[in-house]
Amino acid sequence: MLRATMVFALCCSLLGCHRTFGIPSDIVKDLPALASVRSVYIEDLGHGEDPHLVEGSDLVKEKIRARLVQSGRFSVVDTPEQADGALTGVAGFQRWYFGMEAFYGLEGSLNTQYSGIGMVRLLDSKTQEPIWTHEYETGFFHPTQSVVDRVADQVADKLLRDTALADGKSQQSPERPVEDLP
Amino acid sequence: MSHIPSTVSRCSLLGLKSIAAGLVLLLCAASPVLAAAPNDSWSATGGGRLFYTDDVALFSATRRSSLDGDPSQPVLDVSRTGIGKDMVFEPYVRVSRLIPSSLGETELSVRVRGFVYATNPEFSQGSMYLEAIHGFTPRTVLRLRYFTAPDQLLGMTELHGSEDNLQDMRVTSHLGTVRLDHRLSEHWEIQLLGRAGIRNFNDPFVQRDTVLWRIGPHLLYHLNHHARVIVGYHYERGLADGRHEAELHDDASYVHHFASIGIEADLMEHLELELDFHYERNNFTSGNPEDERFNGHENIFLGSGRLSYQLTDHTALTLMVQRSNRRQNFHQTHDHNTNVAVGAVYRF
Repeated sequence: MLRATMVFALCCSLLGCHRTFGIPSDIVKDLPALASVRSVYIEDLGHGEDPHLVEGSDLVKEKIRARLVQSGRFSVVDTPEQADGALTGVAGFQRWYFGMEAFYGLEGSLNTQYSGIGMVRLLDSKTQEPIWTHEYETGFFHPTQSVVDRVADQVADKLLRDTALADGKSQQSPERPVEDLP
Repeated sequence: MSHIPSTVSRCSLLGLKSIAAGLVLLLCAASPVLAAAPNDSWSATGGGRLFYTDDVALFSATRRSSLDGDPSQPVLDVSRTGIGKDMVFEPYVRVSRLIPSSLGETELSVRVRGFVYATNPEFSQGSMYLEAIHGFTPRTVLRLRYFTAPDQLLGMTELHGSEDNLQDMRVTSHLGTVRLDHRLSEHWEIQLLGRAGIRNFNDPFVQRDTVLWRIGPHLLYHLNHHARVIVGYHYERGLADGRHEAELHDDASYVHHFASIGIEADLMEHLELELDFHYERNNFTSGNPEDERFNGHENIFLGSGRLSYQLTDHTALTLMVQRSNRRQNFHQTHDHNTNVAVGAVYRF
């Protein structure tokens, strides 16, 4: 009984260790508003978090920028004033360690693993209301895909896919009212 | 196979239970904090490995033999090992917290590990690490560690040199380690390690109680962000109580030399390989010609390889192989120990 109680307490306690960041996680997809966004400003995706807790934000930002520019659907501008929408939030990765004997080195070691982080929102530049949000989905890594690529690709793929959907709907029913999907 | 007196078994069990209970209490205390403050930097990982070992008595010593492990962990005389093979489950949990401050980043962590033997449960044991790592700058890090492995069964051995009087030998280790890491340049890093501690043996073998200290440098060469080579040397002095009791002819004092070279490399984005080779030399310093260890020495060669593959954001798989060869000049035998493991680790 004591053993079972201890194991149960251990499992409950460990489940509490999942970490989230201070970014609202409500899923928003306002397709008509998204269809009207042509220029995007990408903010610092470290969002003021401790750089030891969220790493690689600059790399993720750069890869998202490259994907959006490459798509031809968006232009990525240098100042928020020039943009229809601003991409903001937290994106990057965290290191985690599991070694028992090794003290990990200054730049990690074999015991270093990486988990992706992504909670990104596209805000309307005028109203600052969220148009679109994305939360990083954990899952199986492709053997040759870095965690930075995985985080950036998820954001870019989802944004471009939803934008294509929004553009399609906007052409079919241009008078359709703004829609917030849960 | 269980020759262990019940009192001793209970002691071992109590040691394991104490460590497990301590961890559970720590986690219970931490859990509400984690839930209430999502920006707090708590982290927990847990996992397990399943080992096949061909020598029960040598398994834990081989397992802990590394630059940052406990390579001088006592073992039986090689003539007494060879108890046989077993499957060993190694569960472990690590809980850590990162604390930023104006003086730099500090990480506090506790790690608990067990070795649970399938067919020789009397050898089952637990160990705990408490660690504080402080980064003064991104180039300079100080690490402090306390390690304990309570009431660890080494096996049965002769008491007072009599083959007819075999007793269980048990040891409790308390070790403190300090290590300073400094990045000298883009490619070079130096680490300076110091360690001190005590080992307490059970009653029939109290003359083997040992005070020890160790120093040693590690030099790391970072080829790039995906590969590095580590070379290290340690000198350790162990002073056993038996050096003052010549009539027992059992002075286990020693000078220990440990040299290691290893390479760590990313083979693919999520596949990493570690290869290590260690050489260990124990020179026994007993001045009593009637002592079995008079002019005695021991040579240990150990090679290990490990593959780690990160499967998901929160899960990694490991494959590990170790092989050691021990030879003592005062017993004309030598022992091999091979350990093979598969494991998984999960980040909560």
